[in-house]
Order: sequence, then C-alpha cells, then structure tokens
Amino acid sequence: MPDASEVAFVLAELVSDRTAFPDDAASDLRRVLGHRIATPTPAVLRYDRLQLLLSMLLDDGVVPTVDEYTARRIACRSDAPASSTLINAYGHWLGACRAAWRFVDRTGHPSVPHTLRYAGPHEAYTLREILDAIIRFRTRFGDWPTQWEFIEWGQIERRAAGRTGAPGPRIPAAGSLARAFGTFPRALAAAQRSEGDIRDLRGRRDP
Amino acid sequence: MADATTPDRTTHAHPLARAVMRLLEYRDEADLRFVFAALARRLPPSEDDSGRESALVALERCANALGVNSPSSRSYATWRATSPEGRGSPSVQQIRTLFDGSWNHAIEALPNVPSSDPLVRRLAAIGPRYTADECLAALTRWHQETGELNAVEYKAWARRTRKAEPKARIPANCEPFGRRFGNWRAGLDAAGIDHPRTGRRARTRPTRVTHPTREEVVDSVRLAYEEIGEPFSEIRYVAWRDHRAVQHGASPAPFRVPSPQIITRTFGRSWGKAVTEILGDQLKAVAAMRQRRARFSPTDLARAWWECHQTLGRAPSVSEYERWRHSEAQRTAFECWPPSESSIRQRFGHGSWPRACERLQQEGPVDA
Repeated sequence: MPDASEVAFVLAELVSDRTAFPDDAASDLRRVLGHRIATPTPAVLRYDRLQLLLSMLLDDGVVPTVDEYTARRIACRSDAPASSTLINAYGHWLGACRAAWRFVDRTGHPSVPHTLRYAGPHEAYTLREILDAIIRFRTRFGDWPTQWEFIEWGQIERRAAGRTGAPGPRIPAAGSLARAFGTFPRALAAAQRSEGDIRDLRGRRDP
Repeated sequence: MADATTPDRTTHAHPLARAVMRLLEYRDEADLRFVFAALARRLPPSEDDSGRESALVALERCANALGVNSPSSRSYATWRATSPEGRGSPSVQQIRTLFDGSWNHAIEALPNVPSSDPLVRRLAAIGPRYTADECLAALTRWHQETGELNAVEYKAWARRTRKAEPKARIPANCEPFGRRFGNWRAGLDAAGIDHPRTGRRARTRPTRVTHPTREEVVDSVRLAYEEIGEPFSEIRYVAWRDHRAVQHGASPAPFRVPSPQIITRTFGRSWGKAVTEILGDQLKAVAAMRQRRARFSPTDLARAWWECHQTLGRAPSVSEYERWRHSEAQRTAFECWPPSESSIRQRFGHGSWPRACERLQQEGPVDA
C-alpha cells in the first residue's frame, strides 16, 4: 500500500507486535477501524460516485453523453461507477448529471442525494417485522441494541444496499418505531418477550 | 447461540486501542486500511461452527484470483463457472443462505475485509451513564454557584467546570436530565430548585418572529434599503438589523425584522435574487446588484484570493475573506467589489472552501 504515510507504517509495526500490543487491544482496534472504513459517510459516497461526471462537466462545460462518459471512464481506468449504475440510481442520465452539478450550483435543495432508488413510498412495517428486525440485530451482534445503535444499523444496511443496488432491508427507522410502539424501550421489551416465546416453543418442540 | 460465539461487546475499549485510534482519528483512509491490514494479518480468523468455512475459503480463493479484496456476487459466479479452481465451490445462493441471505455479510466475514458494527460506539464510550444522583448533584451545584435557571446557562457552566475538573461527573448538556426526569423543568423540581412555573421567561433579548409573512419581509427590506441605501449588501443589512435590535432593547413586543436567512428562504434562495425580487421597481438597486454580480475570470478569482492571503499573511477562512472583500469594496466607496467567496469556492473547490484554498496554494500566486 504505497499511499500510506509514515505514521501508518509505525503504527502497523506497533500493532503487529504481540508483546507491545496485546490481543485484546488488537481485537478492539480492529473492530473500531473496520467499522470506520466500512461505513463511509453519505457525503463521501456521493462524491465518489459523481466525481468523474462532475470533473467532465467542469472541464468540458457541457453535459457529457453516456458514450463520452464511458469512454473517459475506460481511458482513465477510473473506479467511478458505470453509466448504467448512475442511471439506475438517479432515474435517468440527465438526473445523474443534475445531481453532479449540484455540487457546484448550491441553489435549490441543499443536499445531493446518493441515490434516488429508494426515494419512493415503501410498504408500512408490521409489528412483527419490527420485532423481527430487533431480534435479528441481537442474533447478529450478540446483544440487544440501544435505540441509536438500532437506527444506525438500519442506516448502514440501507447504505450498503444502495451501493450494490440490492433491495432495501426491512429495518424500521425511528418514525416507524415510534408509530408502532411509541418508544424504543417498549419495542425492545416486546422483542425480548417475543424471543423468549420463540425459545420456549423451540424447547417444547425439540426437548 | 450468539452469546456463546460472540465476544463481550459491552466493555470499553482497551486503553492502547483507544490511544492508537486517537492517533488515526484524522488520518486518510489509506492509513486506516494499512493499519487494518496489519491487524488482519495478526489476528486469527474467528472460529465458526456453522459450516461457513468452506464458503469463506472459496471467497478468499476467488478474491485472490481476481486480485480484489471483496468480490461481487456476479464476479464470483463467473469465476466459479469459468475457472478450474472454482469448480465445486458453493454457489452464490448457497453462500447467501449461510450468511443470513446477504452477500455483504459473507464478504464482511472475510478476515481482511473491514465490517460495520453498530455496537462499536460502546468501545468509545467515556464512562457509564449519569445516575439520577449525579444529575441532581450537578444541578444543585450549578444553581448554588450561579443562581441561574436557564438550560443554556447550565451548558456554559458545565463546559467551564468540566474543563477545570476533568474527572468531575457533570453532564455536558441537558439530555441526561431529560432522560432521567422527563424534561429540564422536572429536573429542577427533582433537585429542589425553586423556579417560576408560569412566569415570563427570563429573556435577554425580545422574541424574534421566526415565521414572518411575505409582507413583513418586504416591508423590512424596503425600510432597510431606504435607511442604508447602496450598496445594499447582506453584511450591511445584518449590521443594520443588529442596530435595530439594540434599539428595540428589552421591549416585550416581538422583534419583527427578519434575518437574511429568512429573506433568502422566502425569496429567491440567494440574497441577490431576493433583493432583485423585492426591490424590483427600484432600478438603482437592481442595477447595482447586477453590477456586483459581474462574472469574474479564474485569474480574477485567484488574484483576489491571493491579495486577501497577502493582507492576512495566511490562507483566509470564509468569513475572513468576506470581511476583507467588504473592506476592499468600502475602500473604493463600494464602486468595485472583489469576487464573492462562493465564486472562488465553486470555481476552485467544487463547492468546498478548504479544497479551493488548497488548490489555489498549489497553483501559486497569480502575476499582477
């Protein structure tokens, strides 16, 4: 990794040393670093996605065609997404160009969306879906979530789905939780009871 | 199931891990990835008894063959179908089934791929939650020391006290009180602090009208234009408004002069457009606004930035640049305006001022 700085080299040497840096510390650091790398901010995602298109708009002064964009992408060997990905994300090619131009022209809506794919209305969450999502969190991470952890998990999963174009995960946000249960502690208590019931049922079925 | 296989995620991070994380806090992603790779080489892969090893081995072989960190499901399927090495490996669907139906989860289970973990914030927690007793003690102490009742005053006091006594258990803001007692006033009640229940709010400034009508906005702008005249800039409007607020004093009547933000929100989304729309019948104002909006060449923009740089002796911040611009305009009796910060920001930094400064410094000063 030639881009890493000298500080990173020194720190990498330190964390590789088992006597200087105990296993507990290494494991904690790996979790924190992994989370930080794997969860880029929406701003970074937006800019990464639209950077090549924006530079073409600024350099040429005209809206590039799909073919021109593809040719530049191949010529630069850029990691920028394919034109079809951008069209999928913003609905049509001019929508993608308009989103890129918003980095320059700040009038209108203040933020530049990362994708418009999930912007439409979606099916309301049932109570069962909400409880399942909380139990799924517990199964995956080994502990019951706090409200903000649960909401952040939903954001992370939605962002990950948005990057790959996968269907949006069924993890309710704060509004759906509040509508269904009033407060998060109530939803959590219901999920805990529900998980207990499921465990009892399983225990009775497979003694 | 999860309890037995997952590590304890409720404890705080190891102090050494915290120290290294602090060093890496503002570093580039390349640095983070480099240290992460060193950790991934060192730590053994987590032992898994749910039959996922074969999937992970296949994924790793595929990643090595393709020369990437995390193969997509499509590239994996192609590799499996075409490469002799990939024959007999689990299919994409089988891998998804093993990892709760998600390809991303499978990729994140690879040892050298960073994975997101919403519980990681617990590692960074500074200490346990504030107890009710700690909240009450902090409130009582604050009230005894200052005699204030206002939540904003509390925050200022808490900031000062926490700085002076780093180990004191004093909530930095009012959230713990809201969580423990329901709201700020209930917290004061619980601490036995007497406060007027129905009395007027202790105000240091009159109530400001946050949602004025369009007529109110137009009247204020017209009045300001009559009193200020040309150049009718945002900075001069703010100064005029501040002056009016001082004149208004502690009068119980609401202060009805809108801020520039409200004006631009109501009309046109920029100061220039709003003034043009409101004072459209006053040709002088519109002409002056158009003149100020004259387009500048990139050289003009760079020259203005470097002049400001020379005056300050360092790269200017946005507000420093705007102040300099205004003072320059003042020097020429508001005849000649240097370009605005937004022109520079958009031309050189794609909308970001720090990026624009960096680029201008890289390109060097422009010859006069």
